Amino acid sequence: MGLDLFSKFGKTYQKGEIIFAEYEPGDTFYLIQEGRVKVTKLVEGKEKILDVFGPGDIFGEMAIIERKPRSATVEAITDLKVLEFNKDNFTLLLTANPAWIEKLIRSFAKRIYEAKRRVKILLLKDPELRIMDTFCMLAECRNNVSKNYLDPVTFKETIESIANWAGLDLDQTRRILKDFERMNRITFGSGEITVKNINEFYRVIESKIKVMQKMGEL
Amino acid sequence: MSPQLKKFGKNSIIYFTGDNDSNIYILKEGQVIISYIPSDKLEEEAYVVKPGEFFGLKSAMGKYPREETAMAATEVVAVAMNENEFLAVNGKNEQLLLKILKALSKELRETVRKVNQLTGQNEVLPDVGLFNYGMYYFKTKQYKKSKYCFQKLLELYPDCSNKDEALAQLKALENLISDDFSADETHQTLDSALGKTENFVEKVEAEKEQQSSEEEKMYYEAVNAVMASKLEEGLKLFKQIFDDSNTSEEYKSKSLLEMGKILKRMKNFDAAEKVFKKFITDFSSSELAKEAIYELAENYKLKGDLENCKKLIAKIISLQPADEITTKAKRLLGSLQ
Repeated sequence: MGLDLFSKFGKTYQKGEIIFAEYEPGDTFYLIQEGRVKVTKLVEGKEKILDVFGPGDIFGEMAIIERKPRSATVEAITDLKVLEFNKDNFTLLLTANPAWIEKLIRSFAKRIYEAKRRVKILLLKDPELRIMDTFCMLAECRNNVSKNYLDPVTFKETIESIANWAGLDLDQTRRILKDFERMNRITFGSGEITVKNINEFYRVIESKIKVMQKMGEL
Repeated sequence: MSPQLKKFGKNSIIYFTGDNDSNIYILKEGQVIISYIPSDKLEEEAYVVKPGEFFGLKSAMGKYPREETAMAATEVVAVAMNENEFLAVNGKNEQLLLKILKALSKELRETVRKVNQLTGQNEVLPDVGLFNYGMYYFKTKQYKKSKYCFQKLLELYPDCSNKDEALAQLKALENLISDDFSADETHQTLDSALGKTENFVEKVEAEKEQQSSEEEKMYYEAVNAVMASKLEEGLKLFKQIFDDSNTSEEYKSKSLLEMGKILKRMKNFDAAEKVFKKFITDFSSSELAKEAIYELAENYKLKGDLENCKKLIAKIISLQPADEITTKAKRLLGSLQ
């Protein structure tokens, strides 16, 4: 890639600098040229690392889709060079580099799936089903677990993050997860939750949905 | 492999919902019906693909199972290719790629809007969120980041409810950061007064800096591997960091603890036990020591050694101040009974 692109749209950050913070509004996204960033969120008052990105990766691309505050904080963990995309330069930059369009296509394809999956979860009225389906979704997105998977599956999630995914309040989520624990369906680890048999969750959801379909409600 | 020309008889299924088939198809002849259940409805919907159009692209590029069923409505001829082949052919066709991107953006925007409608109420207000970040960084002594958050907060929401507190924090930060800075300066003056040593000191500092970013980089690489469920790889990387004599105490301890957790996840409880015990002996004053004891307690539980598990839980509960690990330990105790 030409130096002139970097001189026009490039930005540098020092190790430890914040590129953007969660809750900050933003309409730019970034492609890493050199260095690495970590993506974090504050969960229960502690910093949780969601991802680490390196050269060639993009971040902040949801800014193209919606005008909402950033959903995570991105910080340089080495000295960093990025290209900054905005509404005005975006078509120009992408046309010059079709490989970057491909990155966005991949990201959006995956996000569409996740978002649709969330809609499905959020439309379930029964909060227990919502939580079960949240685990199913997490299994699908992160580990590519097939429905025949019988071993326990461990998720790096907390009660708070599950509540957030399921669109439920924290107390209710805690109560339901505790029930699941009592029923030996899940166990809590440090910063993680293990589902004993994710296949059972699928079966419960499928059978309840069938009943609800018959009764004409969801 | 190369793109393949495939023929399908009328009414035959090209792929089903849930299939892991990762082909991208270009329809050459005939018609294909794509049917799916929209995420917010119960009834199936369908549309028709015509010659020259693609199907199956989204799930192939996003790497997830098919969310729709593709059926040949007539006799069908289609070219099937994997994503690499698709990109080899179309990777430089920016107009086509932009068109696909536009379509996906539209779909994503609509879906995200639905998600927002369904969750909207529970969200933290942005000014409160930014303020909390500022406080978190302040507490963890990451002053520059803390300053960034409070400044952003006041710049974006000058009338927010936390305005006064944010201003007070910024004032405190100014002193803290400038103290840091003047310390740096004195350091430099001293170095130059020492003349010859200056270059040497700079070199050592540069190497130290290099070292710390290297270990940090490796550490995050290992964290990444574990998050992608590549446990063996993560274990190997953490071990490398731990074994490296240049690694700082901080990353040594962090890596050792992670190794134990991975071994526990791999159900290698005996090896995990050894690691956690080593941690507790070697890093007894580390702030992670309590967590290591908790991990060991849980490891005992999984191993079926309830007696030792209970002993450690009692130990954790006796440690002051009580924090979330204390809560977890109590929960673990509850699960034993």
